[in-house]
Amino acid sequence: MSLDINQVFADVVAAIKGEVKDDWSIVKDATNGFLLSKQGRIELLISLRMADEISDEFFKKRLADEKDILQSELSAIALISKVTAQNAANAALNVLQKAVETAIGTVL
Amino acid sequence: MKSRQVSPRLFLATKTSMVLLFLLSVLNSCQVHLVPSYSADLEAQIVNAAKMTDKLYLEMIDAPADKKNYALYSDQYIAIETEIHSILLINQNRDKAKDIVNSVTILSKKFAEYKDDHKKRDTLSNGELIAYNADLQAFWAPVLVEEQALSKAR
Repeated sequence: MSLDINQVFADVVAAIKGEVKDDWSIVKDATNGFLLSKQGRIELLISLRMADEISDEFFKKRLADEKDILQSELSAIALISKVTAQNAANAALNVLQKAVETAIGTVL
Repeated sequence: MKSRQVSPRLFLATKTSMVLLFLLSVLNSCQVHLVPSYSADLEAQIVNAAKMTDKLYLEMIDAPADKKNYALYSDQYIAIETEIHSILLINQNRDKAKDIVNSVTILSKKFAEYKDDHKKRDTLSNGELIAYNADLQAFWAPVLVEEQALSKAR
């Protein structure tokens, strides 16, 4: 049989590592973006409150809204993670497919 | 009559190639799908609706104190709410879009809440409008990030 299982396995692992490494920057950028934006909003709320441009009640409600914003952001991170997992799985399957095609070519 | 003998080597090669062909056909049909397919139209719709939201609030902030009444802006509120509902409906009918539906549902709920506050009190201060706009852009951001992430799916 002309299928070197060890080499195929090594190629699959390399393909998965490559995908996860590339896609991690998407997760990192999204997370950093959300955190920076959150910091900006909290600072804005504090400055509006201190300038008495919003009431204490309004200020507290907007702070409470940060929980909903976080929930939405976590959904985005979950989806990006699924994109990463999908890409890694399909990269692994593509490596396997190519290995089998090569092996068939050798046998025939 | 002498029976034909198949060479063992030929038999093994044939058997091996059949196994490999079967494996290849299985692999061909095995692509993992954990997320919906990307839609450029939907991304454009999200960007446009987020812009409409920003425009509405900036116009209200810019207006003189006696021109911040809800009635002057109700059409714009309704237009944006219609877009949000459209984006929600599309995603509710998309396979594997649970995360996106969650984000759009939160956006829809908060947009309606802020709109209703304006309607109930008739005018909002600039401070309140600035805070509401900042929050709404934060609710739009994950929705856009989610759709853009789908364009990276392979």
